[in-house]
Order: sequence, then C-alpha cells, then structure tokens
Amino acid sequence: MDWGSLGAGFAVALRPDSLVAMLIGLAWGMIGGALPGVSGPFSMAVLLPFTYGLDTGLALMLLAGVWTGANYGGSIPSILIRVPGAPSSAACIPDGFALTLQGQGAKALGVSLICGCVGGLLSVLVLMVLLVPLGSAVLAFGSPEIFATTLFGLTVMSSLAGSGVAKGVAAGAFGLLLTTVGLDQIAGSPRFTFGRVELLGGFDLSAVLVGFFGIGEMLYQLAYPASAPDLVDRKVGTSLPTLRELRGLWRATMVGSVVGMIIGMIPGAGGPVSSFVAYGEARRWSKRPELFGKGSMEGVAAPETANNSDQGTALVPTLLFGVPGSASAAVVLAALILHGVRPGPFLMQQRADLLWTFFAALLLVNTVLMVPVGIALQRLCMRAVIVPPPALVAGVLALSTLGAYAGNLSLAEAAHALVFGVVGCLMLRFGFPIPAVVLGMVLGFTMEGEFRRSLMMSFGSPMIFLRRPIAAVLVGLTALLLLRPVIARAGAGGRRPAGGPRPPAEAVRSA
Amino acid sequence: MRADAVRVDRVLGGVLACFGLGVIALAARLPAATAADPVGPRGFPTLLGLVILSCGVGLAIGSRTAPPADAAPPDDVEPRGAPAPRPLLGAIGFTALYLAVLEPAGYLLATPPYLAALLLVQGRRVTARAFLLTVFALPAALYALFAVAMRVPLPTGPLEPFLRGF
Repeated sequence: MDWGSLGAGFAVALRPDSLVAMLIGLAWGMIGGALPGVSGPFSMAVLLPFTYGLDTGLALMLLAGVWTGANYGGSIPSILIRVPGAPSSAACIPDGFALTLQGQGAKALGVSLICGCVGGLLSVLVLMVLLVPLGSAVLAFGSPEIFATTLFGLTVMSSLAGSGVAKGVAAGAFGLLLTTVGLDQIAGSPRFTFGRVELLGGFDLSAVLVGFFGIGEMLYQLAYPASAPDLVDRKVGTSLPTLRELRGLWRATMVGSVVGMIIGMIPGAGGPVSSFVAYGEARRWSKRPELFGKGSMEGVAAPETANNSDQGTALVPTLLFGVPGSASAAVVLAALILHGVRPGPFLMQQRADLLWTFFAALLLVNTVLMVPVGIALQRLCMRAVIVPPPALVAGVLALSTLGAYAGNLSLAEAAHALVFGVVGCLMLRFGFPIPAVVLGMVLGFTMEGEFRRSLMMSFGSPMIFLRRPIAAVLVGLTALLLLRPVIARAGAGGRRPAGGPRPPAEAVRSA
Repeated sequence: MRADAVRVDRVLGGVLACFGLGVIALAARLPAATAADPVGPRGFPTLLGLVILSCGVGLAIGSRTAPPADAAPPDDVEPRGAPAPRPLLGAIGFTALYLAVLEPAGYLLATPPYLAALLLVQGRRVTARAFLLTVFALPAALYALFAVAMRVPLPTGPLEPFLRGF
C-alpha cells in the first residue's frame, strides 16, 4: 500500500469542501435509499449531471457518500415495511421485517448500519492493497484481453439479471447499440444520426442513466401503482448493537464481508447477487440456522455487510479495466468518463492522486461519517419511507427531468432522457434488465474500440481472441455463462432447474 | 398464466427480431470495412443487430432459457394494481410540456404546475400537506441545493431580476 499517496488523499478529503460534499452525498444517498423504489444507482445517477461544474475529486467524493449512504438507506424500508429500498437490500427483508414485528426493528437498523460500515471498511482496505500490484499486472493487457474482459463483464450482468439469458443479452446489446450513435470513433463518419446535428456527439451518458434508472422506473410506478406504505412501529429508532452483540455476529459479518468482496471483484456481478449469496452462506455457517427467516440478527448482518463490502472490490475491475463490478460502480465509471478520466490499466499511473483521494473519501465515509449521519438523519429517513407514492413519483420524475436537462443545459438531452424513460418503462414491464442496458452504454465505447483494434492487429482474424491465453479463458467463461441454462437443463434431464432461495419481486425487477 | 407468458415472449421475440433486422439493414448503409480497419463503422452495429436478432428468435421459438435457480421469478410478487395507462400517458405528455416551457418560464415558475399536474393525473388522494410540500417546498429546496449551493445555472425566466443576487 502506498501510505504517502493515501496521506495526500486524506489531506484533500479532509478539506471542508470535501467533507461537505461527502456529507451531502451521504444524506442524499440515505434519504434516496430510504424511498421505496428509488435505487442506489438512481440516487447516484440523478446527481451526476449536477457534478459537471465540480472538480473531479469533489464529484467522486460526493458519489462515494451517495453510494455508501444508499446502501444503508435501502435497508430501512426493507427492515421496517418489507419493501426493498434498493435491490441489494432485499436479502435482509425476511429477518429484518420479522425483527420489526418482534419489536426489534431499531436493533436491526443498528446492526445494518454497523455491519455495513465494517464491510465497507474491509472492502476499501482490500481495494487499496490489491490495486497497485494488480495495476502493474494488467499493464500486460492488450486490446484482445480488454475486449474479452468487457464482454465477460457485460455477459455476467446480463445473464445474472434474473430475466433469462435472451432478454439479458438483448438488453446489453441494446445498450452497446446506443453507443454506436454519433461519429464513429476510428473512421469519424456519422452513424445512425438520421441527419440530426445534436446526435453527432452521441447520446449523453448521464441523460441515458437518468432516463433508464429514474424516469423509466417512475413511469413504471405510474402505470403499476404501488400501495401506500405504512410503518408497523412509528416510533422505531436506531439502536446500535453492543460489543457483546457484535461479537455474536462476527461469523455472519465475516461471511458477508468475504462473499461481498469476492463477488464484487467479478465484473458485472456485484450488487444484489452478493447480498443473496451472503444470506445463504451465513445460514449455512450459522450455529442457529433455524432462526433464519424468523428474525435472526445474523440474517440482517450478513447481507448488509455483503451489500457494502462489494463496494470497494467492485472498483477493482471498474478502475483497472473500465468494467464496473456493479450498477453503482457503473455510475462511478460514468462519472469518471464524464469528467474526462478514462479508467484502464494506465489510470493508476496517470491519475493516482485522484484515486487515492477517492479511497480516502471511502474510508472516511465508512468509518467516521456514516454512523453519526445515519443516526442524525434517522427521523428524516423514516419520513422518506412513508412518503405517499403519488408524491414520490411526481417528485422523482421532476428531479430526473431536471437532472437530464441540467447536465449540459440541453433540452435535447432532456428529451432523449424522456424517450429512454419510456423505453425503460416498457423494458421493466416485459422483464428486460435495465442495469444491463446501462452497462452496455458505459462499456460500448471501450468494447467497440478494443474489438476493432484487436482485429486490426490480427488483420481481420477473430482467432486472436483464442490464441491469447487470458482472452481465451475469458471468452470461454463468457460462452459457458451464455450456455449455462442449456447445460443446467440438460443436467436436469430436460426439466427446468429447481428454484433455490428466491429474491423478492422488486430485487428481480430492478437488479 | 404460463400460456400468457409464453405468448408475450413470442410477441416480444418477434419484435426483437424485427428490431435486430432493422439495425442490420440500417448498418448496411454505413461505410464498409477497409484493409486498415477490418471491422469498419459497419461491423460492430451489424454484429449487435445479429445478437439482438438471435435473442429475438430464441424468445420467439420458445427456447427461452430458464432463469438461474438463484434468481428465479419471485414467489412473493408484490401486489400491483392493474396497468393504469392514463396516468402514464398523462405524465409523459406533461413532462414533454414541462420541457417546452422550462426555459421561457424558468425553473421556479414552471415546476410547481408540472408537479401539481403529475399529482393530479395519478388520480390518487394525497393530503393537502403532502400536496403543498411536493408542489412548492420541493422545487424551492431543489433550487436552493442545485442553483444556489452547487451553482448549476438553472433557467430563471421572468424571475431573473429577483434571483440575480442568489
């Protein structure tokens, strides 16, 4: 670990303007996360256009706060009203809500807060330890390897989205297709612009993110209105666990941390997957597995730890390859791209100062700021949980529309966001995974560029992806992922595989 | 229920396949590959069109792959009402109208009527307090956060002389 760079990062992160950015981000993320149906990636994406005028470091610190805050905020409605505030918080519903019914909702919220901080802290430490050596190793990556990595990441997210491989892959391909609009990156000729000058530069990334994550989700909620939420216990607060209680949760916390960190590192796999796997593993390792689903504090601790512990490691593929580990990491990647920073093997050499400032901010948010802000905003978050759905939909729709406009003060981009919102609403209706579209949009430029450069190197022979060992392994894994359902069905004798533990509807829909 | 889902997937598959074909047809008009660039501007979109076409065909002919066991369709599907097209179409229309008047009227004058319209078009009861907070307090708070604190130059419209000092 580079202690000198970390110290310099802390010097920037401890400046008053940086602290204000992190506090605003945390508050925004927690309240946004607590709003039922408003996901963490959306809370981050809608702020993205407003960061155009900010210094890149400040923008990243703001997003670090939103990301961490949204992870905790999402658990509040999950625990209190059995509605996931974010897809990754859905795994704690069975035990969190059971604890609320038993009058222990406050303690469950406290466990979520503290375990989330532990997971986040460990994950950022692992990120800092891994990034420098891995950064040196990936310098050997050429165009074929980078293309294969992006292909693998997109396939992971598409095929794990719970919508079936065909819909997932189609959604990812649609996202990639959106990046082909505008001037061709190598030849410079216009593509799919239909003579419209405003399309020459392509679609604005933040308008697409706001359109799909924000406007699309709200239009879906308008078409399929949710019932008004209500709190079982209106006086519930946040009660931090004692050291003795935390000792009893160490096993679940460690399981959650390890699972979250490992899954976070797989390109495209982070987010809800880590929480659900951690829940299952914690039950397997628990001394009292029979309590899971009936109000086990371990059933809250494990997924909430995993939820935060995939944060740091999801940044490993994001920063090294430009392939985000989760939907939230995709928004961080989008923020970097929008601020003119292109992630990849050389980022650690070119913008080390920026990265260490970001890591310092993540450490500060997870260790020092998260708990006091979580307790201070507890009443506000409770109010957010029970915001009437019509007011929530109207407010978020207006905010999204404004966000799409404010990025470049462009009505055309806001109109694009509205169109993407309508498309997103239709995709949600018919079960297409939105994060796969967004990931495709984020990866498209890199993927096409590296694909074309690879074939230039091989004079047009696609065998280059099989002749180079790393690329061949990744292409093989991608093929396995795509064929997984066929293999599983063949293994089950033509029957569909039996269902395991199933995530709730909201998680499947928006994850 | 299962038959309905299969029918919907077949229609979706058909739509996707047509979309994929459309992409391939449009891509065919783009400049072709050259010796220096074996893929060219046409190659990648054509490939994506083929992928989308394949996904559509896969869905349409009923070879829709089963979701993985750990992410199977949910048992406890959240109860949702019947589709409500009127609020949806109304919201799309009001959003388009809002964008049309945002710059001439300014953010602070255009947003409250837009929010009121979005609340009313949903046809669901909200308390007077929630209505007033959403329509007036929310735009003011967002303006304070973005235009004042974060210096995002939101359109001011006719209120320009009054807002110049902020």
